[in-house]
Amino acid sequence: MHRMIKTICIIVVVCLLFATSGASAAQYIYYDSGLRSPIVVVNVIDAMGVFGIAQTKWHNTNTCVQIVQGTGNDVSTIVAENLASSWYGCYTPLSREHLFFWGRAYKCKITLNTQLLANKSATFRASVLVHEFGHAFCLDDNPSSGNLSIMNYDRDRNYLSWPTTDDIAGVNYAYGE
Amino acid sequence: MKKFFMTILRSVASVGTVFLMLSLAACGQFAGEQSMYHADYPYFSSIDELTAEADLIIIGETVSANNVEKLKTSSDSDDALPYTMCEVRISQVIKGTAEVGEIITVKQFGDFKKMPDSALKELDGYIKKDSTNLMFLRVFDGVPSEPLSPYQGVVSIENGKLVSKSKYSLFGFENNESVEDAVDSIGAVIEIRSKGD
Repeated sequence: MHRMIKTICIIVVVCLLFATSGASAAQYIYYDSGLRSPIVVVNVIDAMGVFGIAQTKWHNTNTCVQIVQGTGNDVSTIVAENLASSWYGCYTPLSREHLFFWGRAYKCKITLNTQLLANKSATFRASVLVHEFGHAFCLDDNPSSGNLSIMNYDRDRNYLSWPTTDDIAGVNYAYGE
Repeated sequence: MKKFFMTILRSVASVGTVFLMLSLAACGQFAGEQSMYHADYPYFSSIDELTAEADLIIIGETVSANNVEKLKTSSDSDDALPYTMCEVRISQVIKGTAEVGEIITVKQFGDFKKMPDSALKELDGYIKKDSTNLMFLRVFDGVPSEPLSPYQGVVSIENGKLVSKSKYSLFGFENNESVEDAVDSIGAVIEIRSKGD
């Protein structure tokens, strides 16, 4: 009987290790409400003049991601609004894959808050937009590495406006590169 | 007969356990999180920065919490966003215009239940009824005030000590300072800044 309990305990530990391996092996944090496809078609209604910068920063990475402009009901959107709220930018996943366990999103909405960003530099605003695209490409906030990352809450937004090595590794993990 | 029964029981238990564990593992691999807002909040590297940015710094007890409302917070569109609101009775005003005993409404982004903000969800940061907190608030015209950030804008007070789950918090994470010490630190910053003005 003791042997059986021991065997069950070992199976439990192995299964839990298997279940959590995807997240713990990496320094980035995988975000499962990112976009299903690494090619994001986006309707840029207003990106406070930094869409091109953010697009270039992501296109310059060694990943399969592409950000292209388009219109229609099935595309993602970027808007800038004067919001009485405490955040610079926000990523909202839309149209999730599954009814249960949700899965990734087919599209998203990225909102920039002009009330807090209007007086900031282009580098600062780009840092926010590149960060929000990071969510779209399956990166979660505050990676555990302590390394430089566009997903860090405490990053210097006047300096860091590009995806770092950790971020690129996270995107390549998410899209199977 | 007993031996045969035990063998059957063991086999069923083993197969059942393996099936259960594989199911758990599959859930861990494929289950996603509920839809949440992922907002990028301002970061404050010092008490000086945090104090300067806050319009209102108070200590207060939460008299009601978890009231979800859709608020039109944008002056550019008619879209309304969900916020979780609480009412706070002010017991001390450290910076800004408010009265001790006044009850103010504080909003936090997201619907705490259906569509929360990810940082608030992760930190269990939606303000709870009967809790006492030190709050660094941004004040808006026509809509309730809001903490400067889920990571740094609200610090819980427990038995006269500051307590925070956020590693970015400038109070109560590594050192559980007393409320008096924190108020003194903030007061000193305000005094230095007022002399500078």
